[in-house]
Amino acid sequence: MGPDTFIDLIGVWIAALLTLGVYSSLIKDTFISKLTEAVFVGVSFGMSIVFTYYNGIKPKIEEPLVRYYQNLHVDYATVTNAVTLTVEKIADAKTLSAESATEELTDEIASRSFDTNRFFAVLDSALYKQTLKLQSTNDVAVSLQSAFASSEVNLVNKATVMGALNEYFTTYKTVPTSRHFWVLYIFFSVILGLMFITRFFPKHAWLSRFPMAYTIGIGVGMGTPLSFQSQIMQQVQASFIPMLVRNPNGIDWIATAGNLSLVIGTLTVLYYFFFSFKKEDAASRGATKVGIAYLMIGFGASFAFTIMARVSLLIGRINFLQDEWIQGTYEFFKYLN
Amino acid sequence: MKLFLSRFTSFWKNRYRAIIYILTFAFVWLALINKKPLDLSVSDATQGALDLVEKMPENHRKKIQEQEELLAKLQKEESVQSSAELASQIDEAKAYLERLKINSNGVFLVCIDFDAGSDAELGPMAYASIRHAFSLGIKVLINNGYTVMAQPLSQMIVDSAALGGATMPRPYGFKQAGSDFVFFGFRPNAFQVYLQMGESVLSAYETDYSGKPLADMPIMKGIKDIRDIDGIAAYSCNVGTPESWINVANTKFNIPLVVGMTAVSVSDYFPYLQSGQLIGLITGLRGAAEYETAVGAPPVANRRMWAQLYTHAFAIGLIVVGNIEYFIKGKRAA
Repeated sequence: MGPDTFIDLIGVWIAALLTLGVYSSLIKDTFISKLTEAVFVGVSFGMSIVFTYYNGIKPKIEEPLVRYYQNLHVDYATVTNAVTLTVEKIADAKTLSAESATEELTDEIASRSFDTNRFFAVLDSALYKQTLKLQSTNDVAVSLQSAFASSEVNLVNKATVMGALNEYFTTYKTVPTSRHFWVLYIFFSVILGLMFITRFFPKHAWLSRFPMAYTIGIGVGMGTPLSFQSQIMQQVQASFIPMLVRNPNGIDWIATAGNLSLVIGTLTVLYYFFFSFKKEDAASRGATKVGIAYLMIGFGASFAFTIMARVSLLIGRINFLQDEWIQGTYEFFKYLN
Repeated sequence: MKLFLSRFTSFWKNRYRAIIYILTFAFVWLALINKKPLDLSVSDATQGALDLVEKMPENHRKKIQEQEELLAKLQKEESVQSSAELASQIDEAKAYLERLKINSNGVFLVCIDFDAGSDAELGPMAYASIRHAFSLGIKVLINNGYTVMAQPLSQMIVDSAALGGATMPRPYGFKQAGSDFVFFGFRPNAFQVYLQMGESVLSAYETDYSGKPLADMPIMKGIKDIRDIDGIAAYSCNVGTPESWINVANTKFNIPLVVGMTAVSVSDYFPYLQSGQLIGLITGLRGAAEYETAVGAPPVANRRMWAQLYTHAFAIGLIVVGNIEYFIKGKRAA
């Protein structure tokens, strides 16, 4: 697990020194501990921005828009020539394979009729792919070959195929009409996103309410029905459990005690948080105390889990210092010598 | 003696924090020297997570069989009375069956939603479950949820499980990106991405993390939408984020779901396990150690369990000492 190259070694040393720098704050706040905090926050934010750009803005906005622009201005004749050549090649290959096939198979292939609509649908799926760059004849060929390979269109009769292709070209556009609307939608999204930046300008800050409302509206609209079902309905349903659990040997006392404890806990904790009237009688006070006991047990378990989690993080760092920093550095130089 | 005690008391009062820190460090360090794995029994919550992967090939074959039966039934119906609706149902069933047969041992989605801060706990469980799936010939999809910084970390975990180093032996050999697994990477707005996966995985993720188009990858020929996935494991460091998977995967699409959480957040998810919305729950380092022990993965988390044991014993000792001190002080004050 130690460093393999000199660059790795430098990385491991930086990580080790930063780890020690963070832990130095246990003694007292020093320049080193402040520096490591600043480095951590800076690197995290910097990388977040880069990752968001590369995984969100670039593939979803920049690249599709660039492709749209390029496909809009591509030479129509070059595209149709590339398509004709590729379809011709595919048809030739199909004819050859049909000729070399057994008599039975040849009859079966011949019996299949040429479906023009299906042929057009395959061409559409290959040529209107959002990721396709039409100026690259190679990409066009690959896209067509993969689309026809997974389709059941009978391309054995070359003359029919080429005739249908010419018919297809009469209506073919390098960019379909739906793509223009899609570009409008992208622009709308970008403008909505940019409105968030108006928060920096107090005079126009009100504009940021539009994207905020849109985002919250979408989130609530999509999330509420599912959350209601999974976090309320199913949870309530799960609390309807038998108070007396039976097994083939009689009563399952452990399961019964568990279920009973769950029901009592649910009811008493809910009762504890019920503030609409004073709980002065003995029964109410008793139920409230039981509820508090359940809450304390829950908080205790959470606290114990918290210690476990924090200790795990410490263990992880010390493991790193021991294995990768000390042992890794030793082994790296031992290997060099 | 009195002088010694008073000097010790003043020394302790001034430096007790430093002493406790140093002792904790020492306990952890000493424990990590012990390379012997700790003998652990697998809890029911972890067993559920193990079963999801273990039984996936078998369940996938059952799914294929059911789909074949459904197709045969539809074709029989069509032979009696054909209709456009029936024809489209048959086409759909055929396409689904073909997709199921492509990834014949099942498809497992691993959502890595944590950064380096939680790697110590969640890294080993994600690594062990990916290795477990690989060893059973299951195809693995890996994505990131809400945590942007999960991407570089996931890349390391995936590379390590698929290609690995000499210290991490893989009985299943090398795994090929695009054929055996695919790493989608991070996309903003995880909840919308999960929902979009319900419509089409390719529209949610057009490319993998490195920008290679997914449509050209052999593994993706068998995956159209989230229904083609046989099970999901979400490893998350944030409270509230696995709920998105519970809402989408479990409630909306009824896909078996397992969650792995840091110990600090795990108590919020036991109700979901009890209600059956989760079929497994891996709890922090202990859960990871149980998982890797059960599947025979390299003991990364298990080795750390000795340190957990020692530091917990130390913490309990400190609590006892603190309580004794409290009662003594209380008596003196009285």
